[in-house]
Amino acid sequence: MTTATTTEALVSGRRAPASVHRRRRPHKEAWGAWTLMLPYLVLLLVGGLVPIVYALYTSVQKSPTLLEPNKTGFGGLAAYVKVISDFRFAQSFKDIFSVLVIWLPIMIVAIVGLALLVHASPGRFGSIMRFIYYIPGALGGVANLMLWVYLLNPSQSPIAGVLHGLGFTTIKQVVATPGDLAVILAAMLLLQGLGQWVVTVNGGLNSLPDDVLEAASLDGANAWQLAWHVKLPMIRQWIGYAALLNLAYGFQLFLEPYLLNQVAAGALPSEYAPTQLGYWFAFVGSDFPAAAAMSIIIVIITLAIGLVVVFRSGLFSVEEI
Amino acid sequence: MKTSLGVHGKSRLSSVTTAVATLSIAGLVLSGCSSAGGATTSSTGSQTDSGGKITVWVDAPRVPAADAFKTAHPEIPINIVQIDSTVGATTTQQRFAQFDAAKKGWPDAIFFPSNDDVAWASKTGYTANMSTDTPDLVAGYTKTALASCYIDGAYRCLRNDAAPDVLWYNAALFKQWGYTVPKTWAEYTSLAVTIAKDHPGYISGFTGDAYAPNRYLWASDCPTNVSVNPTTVQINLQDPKCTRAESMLSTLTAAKALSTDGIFDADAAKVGQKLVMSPGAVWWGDYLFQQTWKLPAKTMQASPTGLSWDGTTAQMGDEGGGLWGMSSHITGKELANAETFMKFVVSDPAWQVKLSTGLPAFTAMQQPWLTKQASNDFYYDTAATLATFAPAINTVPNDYSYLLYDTGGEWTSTVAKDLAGGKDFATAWTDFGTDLVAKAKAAGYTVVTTK
Amino acid sequence: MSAMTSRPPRAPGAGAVRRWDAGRIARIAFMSVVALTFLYPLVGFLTVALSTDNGVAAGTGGFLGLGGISLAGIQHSWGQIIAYGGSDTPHVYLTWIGNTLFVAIGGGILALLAALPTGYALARLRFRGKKLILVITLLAMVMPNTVFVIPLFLEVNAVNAVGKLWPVAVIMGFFPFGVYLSYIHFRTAMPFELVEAARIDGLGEIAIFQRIALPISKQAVALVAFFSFVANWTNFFLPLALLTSSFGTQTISVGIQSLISSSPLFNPTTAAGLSVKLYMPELALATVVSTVPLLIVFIVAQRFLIRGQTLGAVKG
Repeated sequence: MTTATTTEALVSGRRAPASVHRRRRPHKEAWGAWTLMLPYLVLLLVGGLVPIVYALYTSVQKSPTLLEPNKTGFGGLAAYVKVISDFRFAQSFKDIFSVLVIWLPIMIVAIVGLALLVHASPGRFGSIMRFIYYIPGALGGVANLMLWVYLLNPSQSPIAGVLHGLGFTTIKQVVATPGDLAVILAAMLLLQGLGQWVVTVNGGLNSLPDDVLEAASLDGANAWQLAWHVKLPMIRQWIGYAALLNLAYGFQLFLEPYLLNQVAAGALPSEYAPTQLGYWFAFVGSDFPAAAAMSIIIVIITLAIGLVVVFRSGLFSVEEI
Repeated sequence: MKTSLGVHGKSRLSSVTTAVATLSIAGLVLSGCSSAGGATTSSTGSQTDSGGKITVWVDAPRVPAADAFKTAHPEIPINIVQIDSTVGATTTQQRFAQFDAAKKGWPDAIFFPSNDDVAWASKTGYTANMSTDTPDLVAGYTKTALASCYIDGAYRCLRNDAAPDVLWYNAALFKQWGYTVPKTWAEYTSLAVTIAKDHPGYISGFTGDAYAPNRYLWASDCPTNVSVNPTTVQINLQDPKCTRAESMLSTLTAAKALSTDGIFDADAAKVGQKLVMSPGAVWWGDYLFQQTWKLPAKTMQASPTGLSWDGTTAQMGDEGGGLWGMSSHITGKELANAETFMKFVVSDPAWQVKLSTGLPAFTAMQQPWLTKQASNDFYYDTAATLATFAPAINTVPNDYSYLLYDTGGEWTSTVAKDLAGGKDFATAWTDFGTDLVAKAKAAGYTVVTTK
Repeated sequence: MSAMTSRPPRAPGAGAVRRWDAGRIARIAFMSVVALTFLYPLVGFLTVALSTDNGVAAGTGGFLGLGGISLAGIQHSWGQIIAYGGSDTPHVYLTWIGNTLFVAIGGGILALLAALPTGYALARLRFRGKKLILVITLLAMVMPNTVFVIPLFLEVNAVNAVGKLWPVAVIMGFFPFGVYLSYIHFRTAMPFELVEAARIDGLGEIAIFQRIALPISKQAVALVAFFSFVANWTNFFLPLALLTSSFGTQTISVGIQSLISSSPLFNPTTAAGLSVKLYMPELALATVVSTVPLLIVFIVAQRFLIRGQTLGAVKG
């Protein structure tokens, strides 16, 4: 942890000892703080708290179907039981984990690797590379899907040779062959998300204190040693940060499998990912309580994994101000 | 700063706990004073009147219908919204669920993107009762032609076009290769196997689209969509009426006589050039063969006899034949205008004869439409082909209902997927059966195997 | 100001002797290969966008279809895209772009207005409940979109604004990641001494923020604006849920999806009824044009992203 301490000292060395400030004008400060935060608090209420509270409230209502639309009132955990015992529940988590297992490790390694490489490349070459790595990130969401429709269609794909070699002649075969979908989704997520994160982590690397890196170079460390033994430990928390947000993002995967199913003429399971199952409950099953319960289960799992990442990487240490 | 897991970790955990606790308390407060109640639906609420302006939702192929209405009735202000009819899209359903929760926002009339949509639309109370609202229009159909709209005791929609299957065959190839047109499903099967053996690459049907179960299982009267009562359905893939279709499809797929593509697939146009014969809806002729696949004229032909299981009575499936629904949430001038719209789209020649590609379901429009089609001499024997269309309506078994589960969707995500992925038909069939029952139960139905 | 910019952008590894050793060659080779892997499909996609329907369908054009690029193709494709929407909503594609600009910029401005003062307050003011706000903000960052669809719809419906653009912009303005970025920024760039000195000068807390903190928040502004604009531009869920009623009120992401759904490419039978036919070149061109704003924003924000003191200081 010595490096982190050094950074801390360098970055916020101008900080006066905390004891000097404590409890001087607490009321005025608190009043000022809440005033300054007012716009955010309003938005937080409208865009965050009310929806989540509503979701919590809805999830403990009785779970109706279109055939029993009048089942209303407090239902305890009935909606949760219904969701968990649904025949697609376990499968949807297996599906999404099979995507995450392929995608996340590659993503993290690629983010860190490319960010370190860009960092080790000063001058024009490095900035051109950084820009090129960013470009696919500009094709977000639906745009990314269009790109992949082009890539996966054996009749016009630039990798048509590979696809034909694997025995595919139609895009439906490409996405519907068992096991392909997880790989395709992982590749879609990778291409789309990588650029922005490389740029972000590279920004982090650029702000590492010069003297530490220079000291290491003077000690005779070559570029590889510098990256592996000095830079990497210093951005450890960054890796955790990237892992956390990407995990949350990947877990919410919805648009890609939903739209790929349309492209594949319905040959994919329409409730592939957990969010799709939640969507099914809400809009096909007309069962908002079950949909809310599903969403909350997704949140809980994301947070559980997320908290492990947060504590492991020492992220977000909010106390030490 | 020494470690992130020690003291800080604990206090972080406690802030998480505090946050969650705060949310829960807020939740209780909200639920205590909330008057919104559950977000569930089915209540019709009060009917509203816009003063005349109507909003209609149509999919891309039906935009010309709405445009034609606008031209014919410039006095009625109309807002035309184009909706997504891609297979597997559920955005229309999502929006209706939101309107139901908000108790407003519904369109005045809609062309359902999929026929199954009429099931939820009537359960949620969206669709008006056409038997009482427009009895004269209902009377314009034969009972069979409007059977799909008869839901839980009332007509809940009006049919755009009739879509019974006929046996399509490439008469030019048949002549060249010296085949005779099959009259039974057994003859169809054995001829398809022969064609696949003698002329590899040529196909006798499609299994990859959501209409495939309608084409083969409905034709066999296989109970996948039998409504016993509003909350009970019969599904029994072990029924002899199912197993005969199963063994037929098993033989056909093993012989590679069928394409694993669906008729709507982008690649189908290429495969379609090699189509020798197939059961298919009457709209295949104009819509698929002529406009989409651009098959050469003077090749395709519809068999006048159809296909029978028992050797005497032809029994064919039914593929789509779009449904128009009208809102039950409107009244006054808005309702009157919506009724005018419904009348136009089901019975006005400006749409049904001039523009529509399917055989009108509305009886009085059929002859004018057939006359117009005859002027475009596309088929091998146009007069004979057109003569098969209207009678085909009566070859469709009539105890098939559109229900809250999407049989076509289950088919594409099991059978179509498995076959495209190279699995055998037996596996695909098992997957289909399991999923179908599970989906029906998930929708809330009681599933029985006998009526 | 000085605290932030005193450290000039540096050449990393400047201490090392620059020579063409094996490591350097390997690094440059590897990075170039990765870049080419990224560019290869993108160039192919761009080529499709600039070609004719028939050329793409026939597969002529040689390597990556580069030979198929034609001005006539671009003109035709663009004409088709512009013609989409019919007489009720003419050139609806441009309307979508305009709508998206409105919500993305509006949402971005709101995000800035909310994030900067909040980030400052969280970073440099002491008050009870700070941890709670921070933790809730972090939770909100990992919350699935789908959780919010129904409640947000009902909220917007309660104020009778379904189908209007402003509620979308308002909800996009709730951008917890921006609060987090600003929080980190002020922790890094604004020493306590500055705050203390201002207080001794008799400035109120709000005035300190306005006169001392705001002028040194250029970088936070750039970062929050960039990340929120990108997130808003590509957002699919919110517009889908809240802009239900009409074609003309959609944003570009939902719009492109409706282009896809009315393309004969995925459902050939829809071609029969449509006057506008969208094949791969039209769809690709519509997609490519829709990403141009994101590339521009990146180029503008690049120098702030690269310097990245704010981002780098996440460690705290």
